[in-house]
This record gives sequence, structure tokens and C-alpha cells, in this order.
Amino acid sequence: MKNKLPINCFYFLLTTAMFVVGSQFSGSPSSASVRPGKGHHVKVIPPGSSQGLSALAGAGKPALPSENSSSKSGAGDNDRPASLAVVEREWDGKGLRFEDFALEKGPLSEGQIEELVIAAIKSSDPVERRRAFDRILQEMQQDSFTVEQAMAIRKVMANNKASGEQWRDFDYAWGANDPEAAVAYIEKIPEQYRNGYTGNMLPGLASVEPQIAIDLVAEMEGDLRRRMTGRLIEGLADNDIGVATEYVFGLAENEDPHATQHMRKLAREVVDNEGLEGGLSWAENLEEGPLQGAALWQVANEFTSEDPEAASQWAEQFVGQDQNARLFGEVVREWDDREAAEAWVDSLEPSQGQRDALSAVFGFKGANQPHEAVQEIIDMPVSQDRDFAINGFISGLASQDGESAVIWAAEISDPGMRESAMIRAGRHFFRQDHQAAVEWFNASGLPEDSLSHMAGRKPD
Amino acid sequence: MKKNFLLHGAWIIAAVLSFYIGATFFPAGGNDDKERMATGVRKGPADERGNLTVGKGGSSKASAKRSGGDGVDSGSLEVVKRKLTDGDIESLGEQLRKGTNPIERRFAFTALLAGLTAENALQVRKQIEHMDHRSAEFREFHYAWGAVGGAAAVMFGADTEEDDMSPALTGWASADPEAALAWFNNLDMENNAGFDALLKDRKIPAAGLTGHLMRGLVQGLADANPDTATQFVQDMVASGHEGAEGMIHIVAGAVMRSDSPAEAALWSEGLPEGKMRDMAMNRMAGHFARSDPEAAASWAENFSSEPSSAGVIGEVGQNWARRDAQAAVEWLGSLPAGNGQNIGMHRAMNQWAERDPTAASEYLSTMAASDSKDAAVRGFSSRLAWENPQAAMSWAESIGSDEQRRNAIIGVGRAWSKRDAQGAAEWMVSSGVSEDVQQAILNPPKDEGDARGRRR
Repeated sequence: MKNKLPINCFYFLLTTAMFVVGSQFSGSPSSASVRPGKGHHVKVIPPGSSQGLSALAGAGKPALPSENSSSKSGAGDNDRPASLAVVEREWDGKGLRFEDFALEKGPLSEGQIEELVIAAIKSSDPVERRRAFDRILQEMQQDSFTVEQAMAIRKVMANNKASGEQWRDFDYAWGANDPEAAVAYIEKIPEQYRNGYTGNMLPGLASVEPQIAIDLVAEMEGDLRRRMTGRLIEGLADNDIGVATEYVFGLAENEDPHATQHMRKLAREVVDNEGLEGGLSWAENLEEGPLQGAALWQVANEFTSEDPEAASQWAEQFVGQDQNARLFGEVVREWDDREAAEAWVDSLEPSQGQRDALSAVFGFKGANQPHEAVQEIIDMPVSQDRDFAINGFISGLASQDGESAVIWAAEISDPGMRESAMIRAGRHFFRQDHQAAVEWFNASGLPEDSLSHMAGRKPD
Repeated sequence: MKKNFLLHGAWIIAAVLSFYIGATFFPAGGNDDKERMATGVRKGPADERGNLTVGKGGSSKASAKRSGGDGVDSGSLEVVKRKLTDGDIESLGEQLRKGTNPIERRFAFTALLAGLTAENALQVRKQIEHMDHRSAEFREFHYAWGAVGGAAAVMFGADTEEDDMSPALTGWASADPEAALAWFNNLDMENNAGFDALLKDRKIPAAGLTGHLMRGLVQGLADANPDTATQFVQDMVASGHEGAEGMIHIVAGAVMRSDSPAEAALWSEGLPEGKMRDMAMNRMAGHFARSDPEAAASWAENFSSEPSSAGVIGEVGQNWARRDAQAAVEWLGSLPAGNGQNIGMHRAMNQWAERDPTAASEYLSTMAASDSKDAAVRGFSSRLAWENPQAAMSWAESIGSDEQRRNAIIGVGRAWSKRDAQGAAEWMVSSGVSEDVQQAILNPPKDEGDARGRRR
């Protein structure tokens, strides 16, 4: 008996070990199955193609299990009520074994990065493309993520022509997750890609390090600064709407000529992030003035496209507030029921907002019913309303008939509005018939320097 | 001794059985691996409501700086694959709509797709219905729903305003081509009440809707297997379906995405001869040339004497000229004379004129009179006309072939009239061009403007 105890112990341990080995053995993934794929056609190895890519092109793409497919949802389903055609299938993607790339398995190797990025660009399945790229973005959020990994991702993305959206997401994520490296890379990236990269990365950076991002833009000049300010505002809004709002008010205090444009951009971001209700509440509670006007103008646009009736009722609270007049025109422009929009404008009490809305009504008519609009304008007495109607009318007409538009613009009685309307219409006229436009300009009485605003473009 | 043998034998059998049981019923991480999908979501440990949340990894550099700022779960990004509860779906939808940055919103969307089933599809759809129906997310949702829901997912779109039937059919066809094909082939819209909302209420023509769905089907078949898609398009062409040849572009797009340009070019070459093959080869030639013009040129040379493949030479010439016009033109000059060479010269010179009209005109001056020179001058002058119509007209007038010269003069004259009507009119008076040419200049075909508009 004593002799058998060690033997039994030995065998017991062996049996236990075999159980463990068995369970481990069956769980190891096959590296051969990691490619996304599809079964098809002629296959050649092009000069310079990578192993990963050729494997990608050749592998077979499995369809979902047949017992879940044609037998349940095949021919004849269109004759049955839709609810009966529901099949029991789960969406597992088609090629990549995502479990092989699980976060628990540690940082992605260069080879895994290559496989994922190639799948994200080249998989025939859009959902698989999305998931593969998501895994890359997750990797970027890990403490272990390195600049070397970032560069490896960028290289594979560039070699395989990643989409603009993928670049935007990658650059944003880099700015958000490794601000220092992402900012340093601005100096390293080839010049032709620098602005694109900076524009993508900046909102990510601003979403976590607002001040660094603000300082970065402050060092820029001219049109680049204007464009990057827009991207900066996106990121600041991702960080904190209050910070972003303060920033835009600061721009206005520093007499940035594009402050209202930036405020509209911010308003769009606020509606995106906070929803329409949040956007309305934010805009209504801003300090009164031109910036609030710009914000209301933008949220009016978003509100009208969602619910024009409700938007028009909401807009009426601003009747009589000249600084908010432009939102009335925006409601009209976005309202797809033209008759309802016109009826609403007719119901408004006379005000700057009502005139702006009237201008928008005639803008639509100028583009779509010019003869009807002309008759209505002829019937109107000389007045501010008539000026606004003509001003809107030529905006719609000029792209089709610049010559008529400049003639109508000259009918506006207010000198300032007349001149700017003539220049606006003249720009189209110059594009349509340069020579005739030159003759018109010479007789128009417009200042010489306005010529460059109109005649600067070559024909399309 | 015999007892000992039995004891050893029994233990060995027990060990083997143990291995088998371990391998079969208790695979290491097997259940985890099957259930876990790296889709960017897991049960948020900090979420007291038990809802799924997505967000940054808790230890990430940036999230450490933002911790507590956005209310997003700070767990790692794994999904425990289980059916999404109603609360999960609502919670992910909320993050999709109001996530504080695009990456969070993206992860929330992917998590919704990962948990999508035929049963919860309608609830998931509610979370994405605020999106533009042309957006990638909206289309991808319907693609995924089509893949799990088949006909039900497609027919759901019959009662909605958005374009969701086509992407659903694409997803279905990509996952189960046979079933989707059979469904499509058995479609009888006019006698199927499910289509009433589209055909009777919205008055969409059945033929138009069939074409629309067919494009979705071809895309899905191409996603699964371009050969199947090609065969389907061929069958449609053979059965006289109007415009079916053009659907080869959908297949070509799928091949271009997954294959290298060289592979894609070979795929197009292997198609059966005819209009469909010509269209596919032209498309691939341009794609190949943008990637590697010299390799594309070597490939295209195989077809330089095939009249039906003239477009291939043209595409390579044009796209190569965007990078290196002189090299492109010299290559074209080395090809056998013919329509392909002429089309290529026309397009390459048009490109060159845009980039460097001086160098282009110098090269033209060295060319011997020939049909290909006439084509080159015509391509050059048609572009130059927008910058320098007088010089362009001089070049147009130098063309040897009467017909080519007339067409070139008309083309330049029309551009000149648009740019400077008075200058063009003065030229017409002094040039002595025939009355019919003057009329052709002053009265361009109406659809020319439309075509330009479409291209823009």
C-alpha cells in the first residue's frame, strides 16, 4: 500500500496536468486566420507588395453559417410579412479574429498594427473596417502607447491610402492622448502635410490641453490662423463649452474680424454636443450683442431644419431686437414649406427681423420664380421693405443672370446696401460675361477698388 | 504484477481522458474569447445603473488629466459580448448623441453595432436615426442589420423616408449572397403590398427602385466575392437590363479597395470582352496610373493596338501627365499610331497645358505632323483657351486634319466667348471662319452646359 501511494500521487498530478494542458492547447488561436479575406479571382503578386497585403487579397471570406442563412431567409421572403423573415444570426465580422488583438494581450506589435490598419482600409466589410480602426484608437489610449507605434500606424496608413476620416480620427486621438508627442510632430511632418495634420490634431489637443492649443494657434497668422481657430473651437467645445465660449468672446474683445463666424461654428458644436435644447438654452443665455446674434442665427438654422413651425414660434421672441434680425432670414431659408414660410413672414410685425425674413423669401423667389418676384417688387412702394426684397431677390437671381441682377441692385434706395448689393451681383456678372461686366462697371459709379472684389476669379 | 499493470493502465487512461475533457469542455479562455470582442466597450465598473459605457482607458495619459470631467466610464475598452439590454442601448445611444468627443461617439456607435441582433435592431436604429442617412454610420448600421436580419432589415426601409433599403441589402448580400440573390430574383414589387408605400404612395417607379436595390445587391455581392458580383452583372447585361454594364464600376470599386492596383488591373483584364470589360479596364487604368504610372504604362501597352481599349491608353496618359507630363507624352509617342495614342496625347497635353503651357508648347513644336500631333494640339488648345484664347486659337488653326481643326476652333471659340464675348466676336469677324463654325461657337449644344454642371 505504501508503495502505491507515490505512484498514485504521481498519476493524479499527471492527470491534473493533462487536463490543464488540454484546456490550454485548445485555446491557442491560429495565426493563419487573422486575415480579413474573400475568395476570389486572379491573383498576382505585384512588384513591391507586402506579404500582409498579398495574404489579405487571397484569403477566403466565409459567409455566415449556412444553417442560419438561405434556409431561413432565402427566396420568397419578400412575399411574407417582414417580421416572419427575421433570422437568428449574430454579427461577427468576416475575417479578422479580433480576440487575437485583445487589449489584455498587451501592446500591439508592429505586425499587428500593420494587419489592423490594412484591414481598416482594405477589408471589404465596412463594419470590420470600423472595428479594426477602433482597435488602433483604443491602443492609442493605453499608457504603453509609444511614439514608435504612432509612427508605425502613420506609415501603414499612408502606404495604404487611409481615408480622410481615418486621418482625422487618428490625429485627433494622438493630440488627445499624447499631446506632447503630437505637438512635437508638427515640426517633423513634411510641410505639405503640416496644415492638414495640425488641423486634425488641434481639436484633440484642445479637448485635453486647452491652453496649449490656444497658445499654438496664437502663434499663427493670417488665413491659417483663421482656419485653425475653427478647429481649435471644436476641441475647446469638446473640453468645456464654457471655456470655448469665453475664448470666442475673447476673440471679439481683441477685435478678431472673424469672431461672429467663429461663434456660429461654436454654436454648431454646442448643438452637436448638447443637443438642440442645450444649444438653444446656451445661445439664449449669452450676453446680448452681435455674438449672441450669431449664435442665435446658427441655432435657428439647426432648429428650423428639425421643426420649422416650432422654430418660427421660438424666433418671434426676438422681434424688435435688431442684433438678432438675421435669425429670421435663416428660419425662412431653412423652411422647406415655402408657402408656410411666406405666411409666417407676412404675420410678423414690421421690424429688422421681418425685413431680413422678407429678403430671404425674395432670395428664394429670385432663384426659382424670378418673374413673379419682379412683379411683386414693381408693385411695392419705395421703402425699406422694398430694398430688402430687392437685396434678397438679386442674391437668388445673380447666379443665373448677373446682368439683370446688377440692374436690379441699382434700384435699392439705401446707398450702403445698394453698393454692397451691386458688388455682390457684379461678382457673378464678371464670371458670366467678363467683357460686358467691364462695360457695366465703367458706367456703374462704383469705387475703383471694388473692381478687384468682382473680377478676381477666372471662369469656371 | 498484473495488478500493477492494471493500475498503471487505468491511470494512463484517466490522464488521456482528462486531457480530452480539458480540451473539449474547458478550453482556456475559450468562453471568454468567444464572448469577448474588441469593439471598444465593456461593462463599465463605475456605472451604478449597470449600463454599458464607453470611454478612455483609465490609465491613459490624457484621461488621467480629464478624470471626472466628462462622466465617462474609465474602464478599458473591451466588450463582454452579451445581448445588450434596453438600458445598454439607450445609454450607448446617449453617448453617441452627446459624447464629448468624436472618438467616444465612434466607440459608442461600434458598441451598438457589436451588440446588434435582429431582435434589438429597431431599438438600436432609434439611437442612430438622428444621423444623416448619407452618413457612413447610418449606412453601416443598415449594412450590419442586413447581415443579421436579412429580408426583414431590407423591407423595413420600405416604410421609411431614408435610403436604408439599399445598404441593408448590401449587408445581407455580403453575409449571405445566395439568400439575398434569391430574394432579389423573386422580387415582384407590384404584387407585394410591402412595397405599396414606395410604389403607390411615393410613386417611385418600380424600375428605378429595382435599379436602386440592384446597386445595393451588387455592392454586397462584391464585398463577399467580386466574381459572384461580376457574374450577376453579366447576367443582368445579358438579360437586357438597362444600365447594368455601369454596375461593373461597383465591383471595380470593391476590387480596387482590397487589391493592389496591379491586381485590380489584371482582374479587369480577365473580364469577358465587351463594354463592361472596357469600362472596368478604363477605371483600373486610371487607378493604376495614379499609383504607379510606369507599371501601368507597361500593362496598358498590351492593349495599345486594341481599338476597344483606347480609353486605357488615354487614362494612363492623362494620369501620368499629372505627375510627369513629358514622360507621359514620350511614352505615348512610342506607342503604335491609333485611337489609343490619339486619346492619350489629347488628355496628356491637356494636363500639361494646365501645369506648364510654355514647356508643353515647346514640346508640341518639336512634334512631326501626324494624327497624334493633331490630337495633342487639340488637347493643349482646349485648356489654354481659358487662359490665353488668342494663343490657343493660333494653335487650333495649325491642326492638319480638317475635321480636327474645325472641332478645335469651335471648342476654343466657345471658351473664348464665355471668357470674353467681345474679344471672341472681334476674332470671328477678322478671322474669316465659316458661318457654320461661327454658329457652332455661338450656339453650343444645350446639354454641354448641363454636363459641365454635373461634373462640377
